[in-house]
Amino acid sequence: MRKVFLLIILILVYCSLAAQDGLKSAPAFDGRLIPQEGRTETLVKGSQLDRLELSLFHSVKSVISAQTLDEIASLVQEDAKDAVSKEMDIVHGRLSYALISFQRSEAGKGRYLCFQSQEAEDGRFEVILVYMEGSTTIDNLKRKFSK
Amino acid sequence: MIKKDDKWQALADRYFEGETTLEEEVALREFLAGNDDPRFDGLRAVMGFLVAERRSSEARSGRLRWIPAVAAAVTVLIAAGVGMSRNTCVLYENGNRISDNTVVMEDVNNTLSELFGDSQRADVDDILGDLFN
Repeated sequence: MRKVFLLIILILVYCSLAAQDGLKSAPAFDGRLIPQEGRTETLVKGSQLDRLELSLFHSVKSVISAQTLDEIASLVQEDAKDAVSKEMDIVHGRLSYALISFQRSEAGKGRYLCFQSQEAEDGRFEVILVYMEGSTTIDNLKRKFSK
Repeated sequence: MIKKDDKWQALADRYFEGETTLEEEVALREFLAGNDDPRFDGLRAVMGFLVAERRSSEARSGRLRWIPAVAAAVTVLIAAGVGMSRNTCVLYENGNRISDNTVVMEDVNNTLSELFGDSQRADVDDILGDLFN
């Protein structure tokens, strides 16, 4: 009986986190590449995101080594191959910024992957990785959040 | 011996009439277990059938007893899962869970501001990169 409960709970947790599972960069979200220590992970679904015209927001932020950054960056670049549109910025041969839009779902829902890295004082890199789904567009988000 | 068998025959007859007590039925069963007199074959068959049927019924109910519990658990978890999949607002910082909507949404806004608030940066970097490379 306990096994059945555990299995169902694991399936539910997996389903809640598996939205970006089809992405090459999924290991960066699920803890395989970025360790829990020092990591900030945010997962929002539902009505809280209505104002942003999003239905899912999943972000991971951390300070990581150059090697880990390069691993994540190469996965993001792999994902960019499936993009319908993308903006990418490479600084000193390293991916520093990416806004990737994927094919909209049949329900018209947009899927977006965003990446940003910045060198920290200690030589490591601050990285932000975001996966979003919703009816909004990248342009809408830029308008809403432009300073 | 004949008298004894007559006693059991009488008890068997009363059993078929439905007039035996529980103790008498137990005694009859014990008697049949240690006796192969063909006159009691009918009674043996009926009592054996009833015992086998009761055991089978107990086994069936034993096998099926967990189904309602699992069904209830699945229903509760699916309901919880649907609720969770519809509305989730959570932040994990160094493994610590924060579920205060205000704090979580502030983080969402800060992250989006950081990503989109400086949207011209990429273009400027591109130009500078082109100039100096």
